[in-house]
Amino acid sequence: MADFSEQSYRQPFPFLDIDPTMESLTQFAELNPQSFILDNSAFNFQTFFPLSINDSLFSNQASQGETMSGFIHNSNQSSVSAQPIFSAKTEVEEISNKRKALDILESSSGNSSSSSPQVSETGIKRRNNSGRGKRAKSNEKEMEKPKELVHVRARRGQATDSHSLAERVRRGKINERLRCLQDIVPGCYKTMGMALMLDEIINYVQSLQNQVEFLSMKLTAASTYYDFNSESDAMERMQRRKAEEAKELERLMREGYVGIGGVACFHSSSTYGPL
Amino acid sequence: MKRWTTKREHQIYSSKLFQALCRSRRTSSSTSAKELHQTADRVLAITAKGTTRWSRAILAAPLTASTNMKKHKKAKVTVHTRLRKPVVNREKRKLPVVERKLRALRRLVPGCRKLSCNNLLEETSDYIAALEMQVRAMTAITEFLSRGEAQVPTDRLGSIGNM
Repeated sequence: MADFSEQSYRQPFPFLDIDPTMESLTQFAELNPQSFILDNSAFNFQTFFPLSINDSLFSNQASQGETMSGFIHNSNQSSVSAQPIFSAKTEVEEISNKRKALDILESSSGNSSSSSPQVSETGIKRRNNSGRGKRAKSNEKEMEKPKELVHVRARRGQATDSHSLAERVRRGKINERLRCLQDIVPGCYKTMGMALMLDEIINYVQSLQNQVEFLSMKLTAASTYYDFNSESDAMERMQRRKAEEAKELERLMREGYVGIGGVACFHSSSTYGPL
Repeated sequence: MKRWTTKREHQIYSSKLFQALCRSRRTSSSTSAKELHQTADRVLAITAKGTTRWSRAILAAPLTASTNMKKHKKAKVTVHTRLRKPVVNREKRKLPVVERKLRALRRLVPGCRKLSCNNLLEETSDYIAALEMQVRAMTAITEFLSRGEAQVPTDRLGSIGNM
Protein backbone atom coordinates (compact mmCIF):
# COMPACT_ATOMS: atom_id res chain seq x y z
CA MET A 1 0.00 0.00 0.00
CA ALA A 2 2.87 2.35 0.80
CA ASP A 3 4.43 1.59 -2.56
CA PHE A 4 1.26 2.52 -4.29
CA SER A 5 1.09 5.83 -2.49
CA GLU A 6 4.64 6.62 -3.49
CA GLN A 7 3.90 5.80 -7.04
CA SER A 8 0.72 7.80 -6.93
CA TYR A 9 2.68 10.84 -5.91
CA ARG A 10 5.08 10.25 -8.77
CA GLN A 11 2.33 10.02 -11.33
CA PRO A 12 1.02 13.59 -11.21
CA PHE A 13 4.38 14.89 -12.42
CA PRO A 14 3.64 14.11 -16.07
CA PHE A 15 0.79 16.57 -15.64
CA LEU A 16 3.30 19.38 -15.43
CA ASP A 17 4.30 18.83 -19.04
CA ILE A 18 0.79 19.51 -20.25
CA ASP A 19 0.35 22.22 -17.59
CA PRO A 20 0.71 25.43 -19.56
CA THR A 21 -1.60 24.24 -22.31
CA MET A 22 -4.21 23.13 -19.81
CA GLU A 23 -4.11 26.35 -17.85
CA SER A 24 -4.53 28.38 -20.97
CA LEU A 25 -7.39 26.17 -22.00
CA THR A 26 -9.13 26.61 -18.64
CA GLN A 27 -8.72 30.38 -18.79
CA PHE A 28 -10.14 30.30 -22.27
CA ALA A 29 -13.00 28.19 -20.95
CA GLU A 30 -13.93 30.71 -18.31
CA LEU A 31 -14.35 33.37 -20.98
CA ASN A 32 -16.28 31.24 -23.44
CA PRO A 33 -18.30 28.68 -21.50
CA GLN A 34 -20.43 27.47 -24.35
CA SER A 35 -17.61 26.68 -26.68
CA PHE A 36 -15.89 25.01 -23.79
CA ILE A 37 -18.80 22.69 -23.31
CA LEU A 38 -18.65 21.72 -26.96
CA ASP A 39 -14.95 21.15 -26.75
CA ASN A 40 -15.35 19.26 -23.52
CA SER A 41 -15.11 15.92 -25.20
CA ALA A 42 -11.73 16.73 -26.74
CA PHE A 43 -10.56 18.32 -23.50
CA ASN A 44 -11.42 15.27 -21.49
CA PHE A 45 -9.67 13.10 -24.01
CA GLN A 46 -6.44 14.87 -23.27
CA THR A 47 -6.83 14.84 -19.51
CA PHE A 48 -7.72 11.21 -19.28
CA PHE A 49 -4.62 10.05 -21.06
CA PRO A 50 -2.28 10.38 -18.07
CA LEU A 51 -4.86 8.85 -15.82
CA SER A 52 -4.88 5.67 -17.83
CA ILE A 53 -1.38 4.93 -16.62
CA ASN A 54 -2.52 5.16 -13.05
CA ASP A 55 -5.51 3.02 -13.81
CA SER A 56 -3.31 0.11 -14.73
CA LEU A 57 -1.55 0.43 -11.40
CA PHE A 58 -4.76 0.33 -9.47
CA SER A 59 -6.43 -2.26 -11.62
CA ASN A 60 -5.75 -5.03 -9.16
CA GLN A 61 -7.27 -3.32 -6.20
CA ALA A 62 -10.82 -4.10 -5.24
CA SER A 63 -11.98 -0.70 -4.12
CA GLN A 64 -10.93 1.00 -7.26
CA GLY A 65 -13.45 3.78 -7.25
CA GLU A 66 -12.49 4.88 -3.79
CA THR A 67 -8.79 4.75 -4.44
CA MET A 68 -9.24 6.66 -7.67
CA SER A 69 -11.12 9.43 -5.90
CA GLY A 70 -8.62 9.30 -3.08
CA PHE A 71 -5.81 9.58 -5.55
CA ILE A 72 -7.54 12.47 -7.22
CA HIS A 73 -7.80 14.16 -3.83
CA ASN A 74 -4.13 13.55 -3.15
CA SER A 75 -3.24 14.83 -6.56
CA ASN A 76 -5.36 17.88 -5.93
CA GLN A 77 -3.46 18.67 -2.81
CA SER A 78 -0.06 17.76 -4.10
CA SER A 79 -0.09 19.19 -7.59
CA VAL A 80 -1.44 22.45 -8.81
CA SER A 81 -2.05 21.09 -12.26
CA ALA A 82 -4.85 18.78 -11.26
CA GLN A 83 -6.78 21.60 -9.64
CA PRO A 84 -7.59 23.65 -12.71
CA ILE A 85 -8.98 20.55 -14.38
CA PHE A 86 -11.44 19.93 -11.62
CA SER A 87 -12.22 23.55 -11.04
CA ALA A 88 -12.94 23.95 -14.72
CA LYS A 89 -15.14 20.95 -14.66
CA THR A 90 -17.10 22.18 -11.64
CA GLU A 91 -17.40 25.59 -13.22
CA VAL A 92 -18.80 23.97 -16.29
CA GLU A 93 -21.38 22.25 -14.14
CA GLU A 94 -22.26 25.47 -12.39
CA ILE A 95 -22.65 27.35 -15.63
CA SER A 96 -24.79 24.63 -17.11
CA ASN A 97 -26.95 24.67 -14.02
CA LYS A 98 -27.36 28.39 -14.19
CA ARG A 99 -28.82 28.03 -17.65
CA LYS A 100 -31.00 25.11 -16.48
CA ALA A 101 -28.98 22.97 -18.88
CA LEU A 102 -29.03 19.70 -17.06
CA ASP A 103 -29.51 18.05 -20.44
CA ILE A 104 -26.35 19.60 -21.74
CA LEU A 105 -24.47 18.29 -18.74
CA GLU A 106 -25.79 14.82 -19.27
CA SER A 107 -25.09 14.92 -22.97
CA SER A 108 -21.57 16.21 -22.40
CA SER A 109 -20.94 13.43 -19.94
CA GLY A 110 -22.37 11.02 -22.42
CA ASN A 111 -20.10 12.42 -25.12
CA SER A 112 -17.07 12.25 -22.92
CA SER A 113 -17.75 8.71 -21.86
CA SER A 114 -18.55 7.56 -25.38
CA SER A 115 -15.89 9.49 -27.26
CA SER A 116 -13.03 7.99 -25.34
CA PRO A 117 -13.38 4.30 -25.85
CA GLN A 118 -9.76 3.81 -26.68
CA VAL A 119 -8.53 5.16 -23.38
CA SER A 120 -9.32 2.91 -20.44
CA GLU A 121 -13.08 3.07 -20.14
CA THR A 122 -13.45 1.75 -16.65
CA GLY A 123 -11.22 4.45 -15.20
CA ILE A 124 -13.05 7.21 -16.98
CA LYS A 125 -16.48 5.97 -16.15
CA ARG A 126 -15.53 5.46 -12.53
CA ARG A 127 -13.95 8.84 -12.36
CA ASN A 128 -17.02 10.28 -14.01
CA ASN A 129 -19.31 8.57 -11.60
CA SER A 130 -17.28 9.31 -8.51
CA GLY A 131 -16.42 12.85 -9.55
CA ARG A 132 -19.80 13.73 -10.93
CA GLY A 133 -21.70 11.72 -8.44
CA LYS A 134 -20.05 13.43 -5.54
CA ARG A 135 -19.56 16.83 -7.07
CA ALA A 136 -22.35 17.20 -9.57
CA LYS A 137 -25.04 16.35 -7.11
CA SER A 138 -23.60 18.62 -4.44
CA ASN A 139 -23.26 21.42 -6.98
CA GLU A 140 -26.80 20.94 -8.13
CA LYS A 141 -28.01 21.06 -4.56
CA GLU A 142 -25.96 24.15 -3.81
CA MET A 143 -27.12 25.94 -6.90
CA GLU A 144 -30.74 25.08 -6.29
CA LYS A 145 -30.92 26.11 -2.65
CA PRO A 146 -30.49 29.85 -3.07
CA LYS A 147 -32.99 29.89 -5.94
CA GLU A 148 -35.95 28.24 -4.22
CA LEU A 149 -36.92 28.89 -0.64
CA VAL A 150 -38.14 25.35 -0.18
CA HIS A 151 -35.29 23.09 0.82
CA VAL A 152 -35.77 20.13 -1.43
CA ARG A 153 -33.22 17.74 -2.78
CA ALA A 154 -33.65 17.94 -6.52
CA ARG A 155 -32.34 14.73 -7.94
CA ARG A 156 -30.72 14.30 -11.30
CA GLY A 157 -33.10 14.13 -14.22
CA GLN A 158 -36.10 15.50 -12.32
CA ALA A 159 -37.97 18.67 -13.18
CA THR A 160 -37.00 21.75 -11.27
CA ASP A 161 -39.94 24.14 -11.64
CA SER A 162 -41.61 25.35 -8.50
CA HIS A 163 -44.82 23.44 -9.13
CA SER A 164 -43.25 20.03 -9.32
CA LEU A 165 -41.03 20.85 -6.37
CA ALA A 166 -44.00 21.86 -4.27
CA GLU A 167 -45.79 18.70 -5.32
CA ARG A 168 -42.78 16.66 -4.37
CA VAL A 169 -42.70 18.32 -0.95
CA ARG A 170 -46.39 17.62 -0.46
CA ARG A 171 -46.00 14.03 -1.51
CA GLY A 172 -43.06 13.66 0.82
CA LYS A 173 -45.11 14.89 3.77
CA ILE A 174 -48.00 12.60 2.94
CA ASN A 175 -45.67 9.63 2.63
CA GLU A 176 -44.14 10.43 5.97
CA ARG A 177 -47.55 10.47 7.62
CA LEU A 178 -48.46 7.25 5.89
CA ARG A 179 -45.31 5.63 7.25
CA CYS A 180 -46.26 6.66 10.78
CA LEU A 181 -49.65 5.12 10.27
CA GLN A 182 -48.06 1.97 8.91
CA ASP A 183 -46.29 1.46 12.22
CA ILE A 184 -49.50 1.87 14.17
CA VAL A 185 -51.95 -0.06 12.06
CA PRO A 186 -51.30 -3.80 12.08
CA GLY A 187 -51.28 -5.67 8.81
CA CYS A 188 -49.75 -2.95 6.67
CA TYR A 189 -46.86 -3.82 4.45
CA LYS A 190 -44.41 -1.34 3.05
CA THR A 191 -45.17 -2.45 -0.47
CA MET A 192 -48.78 -1.39 -0.20
CA GLY A 193 -49.94 1.61 -2.13
CA MET A 194 -52.01 4.48 -0.86
CA ALA A 195 -55.39 2.91 -1.63
CA LEU A 196 -54.67 -0.37 0.15
CA MET A 197 -53.20 1.43 3.11
CA LEU A 198 -56.27 3.61 3.43
CA ASP A 199 -58.43 0.50 3.25
CA GLU A 200 -56.56 -1.01 6.15
CA ILE A 201 -56.70 2.20 8.14
CA ILE A 202 -60.44 2.54 7.64
CA ASN A 203 -61.01 -1.05 8.67
CA TYR A 204 -58.88 -0.65 11.74
CA VAL A 205 -60.60 2.54 12.85
CA GLN A 206 -63.99 0.92 12.37
CA SER A 207 -62.96 -2.14 14.34
CA LEU A 208 -61.65 0.02 17.18
CA GLN A 209 -64.86 2.01 17.31
CA ASN A 210 -66.88 -1.22 17.39
CA GLN A 211 -64.69 -2.49 20.19
CA VAL A 212 -65.30 0.66 22.20
CA GLU A 213 -69.05 0.35 21.67
CA PHE A 214 -69.02 -3.29 22.73
CA LEU A 215 -66.95 -2.48 25.79
CA SER A 216 -69.29 0.33 26.79
CA MET A 217 -72.18 -2.12 26.75
CA LYS A 218 -70.16 -4.54 28.83
CA LEU A 219 -69.21 -1.80 31.25
CA THR A 220 -72.81 -0.71 31.78
CA ALA A 221 -73.74 -4.32 32.45
CA ALA A 222 -70.88 -4.76 34.89
CA SER A 223 -71.51 -1.46 36.63
CA THR A 224 -75.16 -2.21 37.40
CA TYR A 225 -74.11 -4.84 39.90
CA TYR A 226 -71.50 -2.64 41.45
CA ASP A 227 -72.23 -0.56 44.52
CA PHE A 228 -70.87 2.83 43.63
CA ASN A 229 -71.84 4.64 46.82
CA SER A 230 -69.29 2.74 48.84
CA GLU A 231 -66.56 3.36 46.29
CA SER A 232 -64.89 6.47 47.65
CA ASP A 233 -61.34 5.23 47.32
CA ALA A 234 -61.99 2.84 44.46
CA MET A 235 -59.23 4.22 42.26
CA GLU A 236 -56.65 3.67 44.94
CA ARG A 237 -57.78 0.13 45.29
CA MET A 238 -57.72 -0.43 41.57
CA GLN A 239 -54.23 0.98 41.19
CA ARG A 240 -53.00 -0.93 44.20
CA ARG A 241 -54.47 -4.11 42.79
CA LYS A 242 -52.84 -3.52 39.41
CA ALA A 243 -49.48 -2.81 41.02
CA GLU A 244 -49.74 -5.97 43.07
CA GLU A 245 -50.59 -8.05 40.08
CA ALA A 246 -47.72 -6.58 38.15
CA LYS A 247 -45.32 -7.34 41.02
CA GLU A 248 -46.54 -10.89 41.33
CA LEU A 249 -46.19 -11.45 37.64
CA GLU A 250 -42.62 -10.19 37.79
CA ARG A 251 -41.82 -12.43 40.70
CA LEU A 252 -43.24 -15.42 38.95
CA MET A 253 -41.32 -14.64 35.80
CA ARG A 254 -38.11 -14.39 37.76
CA GLU A 255 -38.66 -17.67 39.50
CA GLY A 256 -39.30 -19.26 36.16
CA TYR A 257 -42.92 -20.20 36.56
CA VAL A 258 -43.85 -18.70 33.28
CA GLY A 259 -45.79 -21.64 31.93
CA ILE A 260 -48.92 -23.20 33.22
CA GLY A 261 -47.58 -23.16 36.76
CA GLY A 262 -47.33 -19.42 36.62
CA VAL A 263 -50.89 -19.04 35.49
CA ALA A 264 -52.12 -21.35 38.26
CA CYS A 265 -50.20 -19.41 40.92
CA PHE A 266 -51.52 -16.19 39.51
CA HIS A 267 -55.07 -17.44 39.73
CA SER A 268 -54.68 -18.51 43.35
CA SER A 269 -53.14 -15.21 44.31
CA SER A 270 -55.80 -13.25 42.51
CA THR A 271 -58.63 -14.83 44.44
CA TYR A 272 -57.23 -13.46 47.70
CA GLY A 273 -57.25 -9.96 46.26
CA PRO A 274 -56.57 -6.76 48.17
CA LEU A 275 -57.58 -7.39 51.76
CA MET B 1 -49.15 9.86 19.23
CA LYS B 2 -46.54 8.63 21.65
CA ARG B 3 -48.28 10.06 24.69
CA TRP B 4 -51.19 7.63 24.32
CA THR B 5 -48.92 4.67 24.95
CA THR B 6 -47.55 5.73 28.33
CA LYS B 7 -48.85 4.12 31.49
CA ARG B 8 -49.37 7.47 33.13
CA GLU B 9 -51.87 8.57 30.49
CA HIS B 10 -53.58 5.23 30.83
CA GLN B 11 -53.93 5.73 34.59
CA ILE B 12 -55.13 9.30 34.21
CA TYR B 13 -57.78 8.28 31.72
CA SER B 14 -59.01 5.26 33.62
CA SER B 15 -59.26 7.19 36.88
CA LYS B 16 -61.17 10.03 35.22
CA LEU B 17 -63.48 7.59 33.50
CA PHE B 18 -64.17 5.80 36.73
CA GLN B 19 -64.96 9.05 38.51
CA ALA B 20 -67.29 10.09 35.70
CA LEU B 21 -68.94 6.71 35.91
CA CYS B 22 -69.50 7.06 39.66
CA ARG B 23 -70.91 10.53 39.21
CA SER B 24 -73.30 9.46 36.46
CA ARG B 25 -74.38 6.48 38.54
CA ARG B 26 -75.15 8.66 41.52
CA THR B 27 -77.13 11.29 39.59
CA SER B 28 -79.19 9.04 37.30
CA SER B 29 -79.91 5.45 38.20
CA SER B 30 -80.43 4.34 34.61
CA THR B 31 -77.38 4.54 32.40
CA SER B 32 -77.56 3.30 28.84
CA ALA B 33 -74.64 2.02 26.88
CA LYS B 34 -74.87 4.97 24.52
CA GLU B 35 -74.56 7.44 27.39
CA LEU B 36 -71.58 5.60 28.73
CA HIS B 37 -70.02 5.59 25.28
CA GLN B 38 -70.48 9.33 25.03
CA THR B 39 -69.05 10.00 28.46
CA ALA B 40 -66.08 7.76 27.69
CA ASP B 41 -65.42 9.66 24.45
CA ARG B 42 -65.69 12.98 26.21
CA VAL B 43 -63.28 11.95 28.93
CA LEU B 44 -60.90 10.80 26.22
CA ALA B 45 -61.17 14.17 24.50
CA ILE B 46 -60.50 15.93 27.79
CA THR B 47 -57.40 13.82 28.32
CA ALA B 48 -56.19 14.95 24.91
CA LYS B 49 -55.97 18.50 26.28
CA GLY B 50 -57.38 20.12 23.18
CA THR B 51 -54.38 19.75 20.93
CA THR B 52 -56.14 17.68 18.28
CA ARG B 53 -59.10 18.49 16.11
CA TRP B 54 -61.08 15.36 16.84
CA SER B 55 -60.92 16.00 20.59
CA ARG B 56 -62.22 19.51 20.17
CA ALA B 57 -65.00 18.28 17.89
CA ILE B 58 -66.09 15.67 20.43
CA LEU B 59 -66.26 18.24 23.20
CA ALA B 60 -67.95 20.88 21.06
CA ALA B 61 -71.03 18.95 19.95
CA PRO B 62 -71.81 16.08 22.31
CA LEU B 63 -75.54 16.35 22.90
CA THR B 64 -76.93 16.04 19.36
CA ALA B 65 -78.48 12.79 18.14
CA SER B 66 -75.89 12.28 15.41
CA THR B 67 -77.37 9.12 13.89
CA ASN B 68 -80.54 10.86 12.68
CA MET B 69 -78.58 13.65 11.04
CA LYS B 70 -76.40 11.21 9.19
CA LYS B 71 -79.34 9.36 7.73
CA HIS B 72 -80.81 12.56 6.36
CA LYS B 73 -77.56 13.45 4.66
CA LYS B 74 -77.25 10.08 3.05
CA ALA B 75 -80.76 10.23 1.59
CA LYS B 76 -80.09 13.57 -0.05
CA VAL B 77 -76.93 12.37 -1.69
CA THR B 78 -78.57 9.35 -3.29
CA VAL B 79 -81.37 11.41 -4.80
CA HIS B 80 -78.95 13.73 -6.53
CA THR B 81 -77.01 10.93 -8.17
CA ARG B 82 -80.15 9.34 -9.56
CA LEU B 83 -81.40 12.56 -11.17
CA ARG B 84 -78.13 13.14 -12.96
CA LYS B 85 -77.79 11.68 -16.43
CA PRO B 86 -75.36 8.77 -16.56
CA VAL B 87 -73.15 10.57 -19.08
CA VAL B 88 -70.07 10.52 -16.91
CA ASN B 89 -67.98 7.46 -17.58
CA ARG B 90 -67.61 4.84 -14.96
CA GLU B 91 -63.87 5.22 -15.37
CA LYS B 92 -63.97 8.77 -14.11
CA ARG B 93 -66.06 7.76 -11.14
CA LYS B 94 -63.57 5.08 -10.24
CA LEU B 95 -60.42 7.12 -10.85
CA PRO B 96 -60.45 9.13 -7.60
CA VAL B 97 -60.33 5.89 -5.64
CA VAL B 98 -58.07 7.45 -3.09
CA GLU B 99 -60.42 10.40 -2.80
CA ARG B 100 -63.37 8.17 -1.99
CA LYS B 101 -61.38 6.39 0.67
CA LEU B 102 -60.29 9.68 2.15
CA ARG B 103 -63.92 10.72 2.26
CA ALA B 104 -64.80 7.54 4.16
CA LEU B 105 -61.98 8.23 6.58
CA ARG B 106 -63.23 11.77 7.06
CA ARG B 107 -66.60 10.39 8.07
CA LEU B 108 -65.01 8.10 10.63
CA VAL B 109 -62.77 10.54 12.43
CA PRO B 110 -64.84 13.16 14.24
CA GLY B 111 -64.36 16.77 13.27
CA CYS B 112 -62.29 16.15 10.17
CA ARG B 113 -64.88 16.68 7.47
CA LYS B 114 -63.05 19.32 5.51
CA LEU B 115 -59.47 18.52 6.35
CA SER B 116 -56.76 18.12 3.77
CA CYS B 117 -55.22 14.71 3.16
CA ASN B 118 -52.05 15.64 5.00
CA ASN B 119 -53.72 16.82 8.21
CA LEU B 120 -56.29 14.08 8.01
CA LEU B 121 -53.61 11.41 8.19
CA GLU B 122 -52.03 13.12 11.16
CA GLU B 123 -55.35 13.33 12.99
CA THR B 124 -56.04 9.70 12.14
CA SER B 125 -52.83 8.46 13.68
CA ASP B 126 -53.51 10.35 16.89
CA TYR B 127 -57.11 9.19 16.93
CA ILE B 128 -56.13 5.55 16.46
CA ALA B 129 -53.61 5.75 19.31
CA ALA B 130 -56.22 7.34 21.56
CA LEU B 131 -58.82 4.72 20.67
CA GLU B 132 -56.37 1.93 21.47
CA MET B 133 -55.77 3.45 24.87
CA GLN B 134 -59.49 3.82 25.41
CA VAL B 135 -60.01 0.13 24.64
CA ARG B 136 -57.26 -0.89 27.05
CA ALA B 137 -58.59 1.32 29.84
CA MET B 138 -62.18 0.20 29.42
CA THR B 139 -61.22 -3.47 29.43
CA ALA B 140 -59.25 -2.88 32.61
CA ILE B 141 -62.16 -1.16 34.31
CA THR B 142 -64.61 -3.82 33.18
CA GLU B 143 -62.32 -6.48 34.52
CA PHE B 144 -61.96 -4.64 37.80
CA LEU B 145 -65.70 -4.24 38.19
CA SER B 146 -66.55 -7.79 37.21
CA ARG B 147 -63.84 -9.17 39.44
CA GLY B 148 -64.95 -6.93 42.26
CA GLU B 149 -68.47 -8.31 42.18
CA ALA B 150 -67.26 -11.89 41.84
CA GLN B 151 -64.82 -11.44 44.68
CA VAL B 152 -67.03 -10.18 47.43
CA PRO B 153 -68.79 -13.49 48.16
CA THR B 154 -65.68 -15.67 47.56
CA ASP B 155 -63.37 -13.52 49.69
CA ARG B 156 -65.12 -14.43 52.91
CA LEU B 157 -65.16 -18.08 52.00
CA GLY B 158 -61.50 -17.98 51.06
CA SER B 159 -60.45 -16.36 54.30
CA ILE B 160 -62.54 -18.82 56.30
CA GLY B 161 -61.10 -21.74 54.36
CA ASN B 162 -57.51 -20.67 55.04
CA MET B 163 -58.02 -20.06 58.66
